Amino acid sequence: MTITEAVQSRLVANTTLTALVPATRIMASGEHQNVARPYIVHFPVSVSPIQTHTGLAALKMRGYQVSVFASTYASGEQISDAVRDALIGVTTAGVHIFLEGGPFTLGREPETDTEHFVVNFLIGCDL
Amino acid sequence: MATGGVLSNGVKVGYSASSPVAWTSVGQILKVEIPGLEPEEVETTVHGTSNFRRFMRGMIDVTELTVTCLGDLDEGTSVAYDALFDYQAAGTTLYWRVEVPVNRTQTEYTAFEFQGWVKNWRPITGEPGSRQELEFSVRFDGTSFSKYEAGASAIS
Repeated sequence: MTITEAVQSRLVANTTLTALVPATRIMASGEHQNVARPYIVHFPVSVSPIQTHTGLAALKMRGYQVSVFASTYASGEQISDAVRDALIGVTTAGVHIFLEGGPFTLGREPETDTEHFVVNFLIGCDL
Repeated sequence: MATGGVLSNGVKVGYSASSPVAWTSVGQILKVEIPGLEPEEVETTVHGTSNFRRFMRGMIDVTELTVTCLGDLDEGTSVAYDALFDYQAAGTTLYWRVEVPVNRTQTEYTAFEFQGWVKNWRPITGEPGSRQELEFSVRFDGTSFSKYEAGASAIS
């Protein structure tokens, strides 16, 4: 399993979140076009490896971003809060997810008339 | 071949309960404070025409070996950590060897050997999101502190 798959499975399994955003519109980063709003795109953004004198440790701390795209500010904010609540904690696969920042808005994108919210996480895992 | 610099990577620490030694490697080392010699100063200044104080070397203290490891408190997967806890409780004096790579290819090491007992052994948990660590220290209890010329590693 990859870290993206671990996050995806946890997001789509949360019924509070999928009531706001259908599971088919919760996606890893990719070539997505003409996606109906609201939708979610998520992806890893950084990694802090732990180097020991005998080699790279399996445990890593990964920075992870979840971006929420919505038509209205209220919708984006509500979905962002649901994303935060859906992810934080320990998964059954032993992946530890901590809230690192957000939810916060990156503003309205005028070209697409879309509100963009971001929630950042710090994930401790072997992935 | 240390000219030009060698990275601080690949340091090894091993211990042996018996002699002839059979080194047990301490795994997942993050940081090692290698012991050094700290002799006392004994003043030998006498009255005279010189303005300088004089000293002779006194008794020598060997500073503590301190090792910080990536923590693993499961005795099934980190047997050495668990064994060191038992040695600390028993106060057993062990043989110790610390190897420091002297070249970038890590084919040769300078080694330090001495005897000592485990003085401190403590897990460090920190705040949620930080890594578990284990720190232990070794207090000298022997008659020699040896530094060997660069050679192949004896710890595997």
